[in-house]
Amino acid sequence: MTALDNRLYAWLAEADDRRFERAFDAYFTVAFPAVVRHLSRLSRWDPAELEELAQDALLRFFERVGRGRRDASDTIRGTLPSIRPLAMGAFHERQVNGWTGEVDSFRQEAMGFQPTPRDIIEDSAWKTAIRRIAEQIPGLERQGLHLLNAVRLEFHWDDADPADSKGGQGNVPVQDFVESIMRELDSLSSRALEAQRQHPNVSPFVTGTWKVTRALPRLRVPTNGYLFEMAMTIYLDECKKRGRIKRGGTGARHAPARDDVALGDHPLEAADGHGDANADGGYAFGADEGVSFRFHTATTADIPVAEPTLQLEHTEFLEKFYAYLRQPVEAAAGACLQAQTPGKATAERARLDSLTQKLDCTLAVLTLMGEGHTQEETAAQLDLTRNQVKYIVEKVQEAYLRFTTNHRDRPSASSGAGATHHV
Amino acid sequence: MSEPFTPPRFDEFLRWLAHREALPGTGPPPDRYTTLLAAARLARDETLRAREDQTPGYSSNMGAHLEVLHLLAAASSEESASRPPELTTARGFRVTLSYDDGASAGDSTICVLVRCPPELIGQLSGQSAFLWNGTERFELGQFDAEGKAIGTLPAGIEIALSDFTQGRVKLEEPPPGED
Repeated sequence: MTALDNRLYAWLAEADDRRFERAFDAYFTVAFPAVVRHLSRLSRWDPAELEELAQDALLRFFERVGRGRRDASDTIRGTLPSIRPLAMGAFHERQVNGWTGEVDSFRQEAMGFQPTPRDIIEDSAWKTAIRRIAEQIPGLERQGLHLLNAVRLEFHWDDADPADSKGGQGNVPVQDFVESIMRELDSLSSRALEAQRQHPNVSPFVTGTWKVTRALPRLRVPTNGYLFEMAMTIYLDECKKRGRIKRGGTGARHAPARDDVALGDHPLEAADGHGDANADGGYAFGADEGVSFRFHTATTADIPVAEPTLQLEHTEFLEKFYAYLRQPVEAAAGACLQAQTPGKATAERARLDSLTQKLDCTLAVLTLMGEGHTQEETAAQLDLTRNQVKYIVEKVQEAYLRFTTNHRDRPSASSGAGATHHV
Repeated sequence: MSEPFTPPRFDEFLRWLAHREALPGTGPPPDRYTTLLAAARLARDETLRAREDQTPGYSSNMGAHLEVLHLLAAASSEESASRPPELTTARGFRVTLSYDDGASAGDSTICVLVRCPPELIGQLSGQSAFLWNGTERFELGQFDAEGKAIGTLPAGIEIALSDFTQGRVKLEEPPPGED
């Protein structure tokens, strides 16, 4: 549980109105700029646009963790009793009863999750408990879909529409099956009537199982990791709407410019997939932990940092290196937008989230170092080990040296417009 | 003739970055804050309402000390009919059901043994464990020096294993000590 999550629960669980407002204010002063900063690392949109997105993300987050969760819980609680096994044998019956029981237990566990005052002060077992609850969702979803698919196979419902000439293709998505059978039950098609004759409770079973499966993800326990994911989703949706990423054109990865260092040497890519690097360095954090980096960066923003006196060409150079640091994240965002299939989109989104967390962590470390903190102080502030801080700084410093060497060797390439600033 | 370009040093990059990262954070205008505060209040209200629905007898005034833990799964119900079924909670409390001689696991339980996680023994020793059966709450007894609390169900209360697995029965975590 990060400090920002502590601030979240301080107001989310506060019954007294005055204390609620104070706690919310304490949360908001950190969370809002943190979301804006998070988005600004991904995008070069106008700050006002990013603030709009941050507001949308917070509004959607509040809706999801409040009304959305409660509605999902009510939906599941109200629907489960209508899901009774069909006449498909003892194995099916056990599966259905087992699943509904597990879903109900899970719902109660997820909705009953509440931190004790001690949890709010200390880290305690929050993080583990939240992660364990979150990890149950995909499995329960899969089981629900499996139950529906088993019914589809039992009914030989291999096409979405019997009048459709594509009939008999098999592997019809479960959603198509649900929509198809419900439509046909309404229109009294012969095969739907036959299914209902054999299984009188087929309609509540199919609609109920589908409804519950769809509602499960909305029971997710609130964390700021969820908020940041939501902000990213809103940003990507907005990009899709606009038909392009404002920065990075279509989102396709660029061929490395002449100033670029080979991507294999990139500090974010270097640690990618090197799990054992965590022992001595590297990036080691879970799904919701990246938030702490943002939080700490945000708090240090209060410390006035004198702007270094640099020539224009130096500033341009540093901007280019900063852009280089963000390059894998931007490329991942582009790949995410261009993914053609749901499976590919999920994989690309996971990669984007992972890279974004690494970038957040890297920038948090570098920012604190830039403010004059030692590696030990930086590690302590960000809940990292000193070796992790050292690893991150070394990787970026190596990349910076390569970047400067590359720049010196190819002075004409230092400007995208033809290196005019060297003359 | 221009001088050759000398890139800034790495420490200059760090200082520049620190300054750059500190830029956002002016905060939103007041009307935006008001909108978000209203949305947050709704989220808070829904959260508290959901909690009250979820926890019979829960009162906000009770703070968060009333921690209801849900029994997750019958850890050994399928292993052996001769062994009493054991259940675990998210925080590592273990609950064992004991039956009358001759009764099977499907019959009503008469005795419940609760063992707290070893790291909580010192903290919970002497405090009572409570079980919820639907909306009924009853005391099982106090945790002893070994972290065990044993209770016999009051007359007329019957709990079957299926009640546990269906999430009808919950264990209430004793409040933390005043240390």
